[in-house]
Amino acid sequence: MNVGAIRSLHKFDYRDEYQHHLITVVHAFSHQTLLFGAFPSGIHVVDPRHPRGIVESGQLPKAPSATQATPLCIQSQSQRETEFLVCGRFPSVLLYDIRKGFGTFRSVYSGATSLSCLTIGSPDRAVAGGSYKGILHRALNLLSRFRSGNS
Amino acid sequence: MSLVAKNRWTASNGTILGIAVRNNGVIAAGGSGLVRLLSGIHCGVRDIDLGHVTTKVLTSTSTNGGCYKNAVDQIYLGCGANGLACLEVGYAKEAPDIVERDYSQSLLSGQYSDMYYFGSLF
Repeated sequence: MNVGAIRSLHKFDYRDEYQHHLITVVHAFSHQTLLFGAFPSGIHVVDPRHPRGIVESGQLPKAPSATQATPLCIQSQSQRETEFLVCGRFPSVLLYDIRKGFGTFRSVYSGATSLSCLTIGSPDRAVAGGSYKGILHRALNLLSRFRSGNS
Repeated sequence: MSLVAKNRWTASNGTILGIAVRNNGVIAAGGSGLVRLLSGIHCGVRDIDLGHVTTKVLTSTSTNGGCYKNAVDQIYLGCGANGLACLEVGYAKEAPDIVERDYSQSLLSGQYSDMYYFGSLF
């Protein structure tokens, strides 16, 4: 089996507002749409057909006392869906609709200090995992189940 | 689409760094060196102590529509800088009565059969 690069992506210009950003997660939302998250709190939409590459950028919401809200995992159910879930170094799971941009989202609070992984197991269930600092100053594991439905 | 959270907290010394779904269950792994198989998100079925931090989990059949018959699935684990591991979950292949059995629940309750550890790759 041979493996090779058949297409090069854009080399993004990080000299301006993205100068100190570090990519933490990449998710292929569709054949022509990539999502990637960056440290400290950025999330971006990339269309390889677009001359600039990045077609939309946004900041994840974070508490005033928080230093960062870095996205660590992005998942979507299928390429036919327009919604995707984001979790990371913040206590909530965020639900975005790519048609509405990053200004509108829904969230659900988990109580964890950080959610590092997320998977969608069925059309109505997603599972997130992370860490939680309890009163015993001991890390606990979190498994959250999120049920979605038309509303 | 709406979101409803149903939390399940399990005491552990490590953070969950990777999860994957398999049939009706969840496979969780993380900083403690354990890979935990759960039925749903409530019941731990089996703990496998790899002794290595696991940062990524991938299943060969993540969603198979509830068809568990004769399934012996592979779970691929990324163990940080220590390399890759593969777990096989299911009933033992050599079990004589396994062919005709119609499974009504997830094979997460089945027998962990073997583990291959590929050693350090990086």
